[in-house]
Amino acid sequence: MMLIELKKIDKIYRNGQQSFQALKEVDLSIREGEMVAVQGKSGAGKSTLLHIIGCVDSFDGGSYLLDGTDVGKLKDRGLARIRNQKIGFVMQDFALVPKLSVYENIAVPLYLSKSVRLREIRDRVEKAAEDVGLASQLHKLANQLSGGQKQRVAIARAVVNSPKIILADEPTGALDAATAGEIMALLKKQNERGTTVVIITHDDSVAGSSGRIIRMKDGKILGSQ
Amino acid sequence: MKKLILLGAQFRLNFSSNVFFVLQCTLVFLLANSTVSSILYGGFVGRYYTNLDKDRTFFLSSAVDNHVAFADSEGFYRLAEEISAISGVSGVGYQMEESFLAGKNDDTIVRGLILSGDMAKIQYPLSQGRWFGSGDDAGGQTQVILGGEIAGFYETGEVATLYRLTVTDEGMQYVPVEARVIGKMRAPAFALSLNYASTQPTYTDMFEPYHSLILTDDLSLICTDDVRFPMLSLLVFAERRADLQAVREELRRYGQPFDFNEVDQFYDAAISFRLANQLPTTGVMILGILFGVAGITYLGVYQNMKSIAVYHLCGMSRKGCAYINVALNAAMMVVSLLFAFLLYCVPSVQDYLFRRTMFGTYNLLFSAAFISVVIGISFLISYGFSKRSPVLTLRRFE
Repeated sequence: MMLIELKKIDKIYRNGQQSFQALKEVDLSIREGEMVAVQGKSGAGKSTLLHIIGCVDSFDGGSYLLDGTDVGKLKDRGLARIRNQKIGFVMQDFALVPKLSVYENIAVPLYLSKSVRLREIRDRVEKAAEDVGLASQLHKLANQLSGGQKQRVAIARAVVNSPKIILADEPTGALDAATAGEIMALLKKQNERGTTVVIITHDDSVAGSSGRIIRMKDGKILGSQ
Repeated sequence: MKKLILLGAQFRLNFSSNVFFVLQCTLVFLLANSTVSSILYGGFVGRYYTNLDKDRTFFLSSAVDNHVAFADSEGFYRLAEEISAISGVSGVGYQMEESFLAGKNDDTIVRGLILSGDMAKIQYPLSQGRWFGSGDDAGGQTQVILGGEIAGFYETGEVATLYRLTVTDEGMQYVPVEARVIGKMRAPAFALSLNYASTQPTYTDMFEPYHSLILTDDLSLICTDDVRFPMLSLLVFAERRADLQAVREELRRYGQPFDFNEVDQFYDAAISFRLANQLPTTGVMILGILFGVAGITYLGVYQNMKSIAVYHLCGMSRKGCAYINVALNAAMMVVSLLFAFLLYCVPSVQDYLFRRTMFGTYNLLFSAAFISVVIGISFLISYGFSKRSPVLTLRRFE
């Protein structure tokens, strides 16, 4: 079953009189449970593609179906709900709130979810933290952790609401090789549990561990293998 | 509840600057409310008398000063009688000042104004009860109306024990007197002072605020050996059909008579002058405060942007992102207002900032307007920020 279906997606950035087309008629389909890597040089449109898939950026042309929902027709709240319920983000710079504790960082999507009750939050956070090996670090502040630990927190936060998709933007870009391996193992583990994982990476070894590699250039998809 | 937890987290993120924001807003509330009160103070005092016949009531400035020797009580009464006897004059209003010890607050000496019968015809605004002569006479019992702090110690209808200064064989002593509390003055308690004379009398100068005040119409409460009559002026009441010009001519022999329409004119001119002087500086001050608050709000929102971008990624809508800043600022403003109110209740703050202040609906309106402006600024800035891509925001803050 197709989870992500992009058809002829255009994205144009405008700045006064100037404009730049970041994506040109991009077609992309990703099945549920796939692990896909997106590769390309800087400016190829990888991040823009990820932002559109993640419903944090709009597109100017084409259509996007996410789990059967026409994303183009959704307004601010609908997009927010999709990000909360169906998508987890793992960013190169971790995207944590430094002065919040590990527990609070992981709990953010649960605080924003209408379907999760307050008393469920602790169990779910503890389980997510345990999955990434951070059960004993919950009380620490995010800025007291190492890079690898921060990325684990980001993964725990990404999965705590049981999303269908994890979108990872250079998840190992700021980590040493050994830690990068651990992070990739965690993402693979999530994929094996049925979560679709889309990773943007420059790292061939990371891309190689994915089921499919999509190559981009100048806002277009060159092909996948 | 979950949103409150996030709100609490947001407060903690920039704890120091948020605490400073609360402190600044507390001071702004105190300062701005004090200024607004001060500007509008005159308008309230001018309407303090509720049943004054302005055509027929004269403020006879300096009459006592001109005709009564120092401590000459008999001379004072003679003067009052002489003026009362003028054709067209229906009465002379004056008040004796006395001090009492009040039973339930017996460590405190409370100022008392003993109103002459004519003086008691003019009513001060009451929050409870009735004015002198407007109900039963309580069987000849002394009647008092309380104002200020002492009013909080008694209920209307209750019999209060006052201690009045009396000369006995053993010297001056405070002797208990029972008096029925028939009413309470509207806070804050103001009373007309006749220890005042002017060629351009205004209400703001005529009325004095009192921390605690006892009003009575029972002249027997005066310590007769130590009568404290007004030093300078008197009120004179003209008969309904009197030739007011003729009365005025007669009164000129004693002092400078002003009817209360003239007082109104002096007062309006003084208020206009005061507003003209104060409004520009107050306007600049309020503008400065608003710019300051806008700046602090901008910095606060800017500081919050990284966390807000994270919340956006995790499923908070753009409006939600704006609202969390708005809610945080609104909460801090309400806390500031609460602190300001608590500070207002501190006696020393009262004395230094609000001695001549009347708090009323306009203060609430001003505070509400101020909060609305801050929340509006907060929303505009927050919404502007939240239009940006959260990912780009996160990159910018790394």
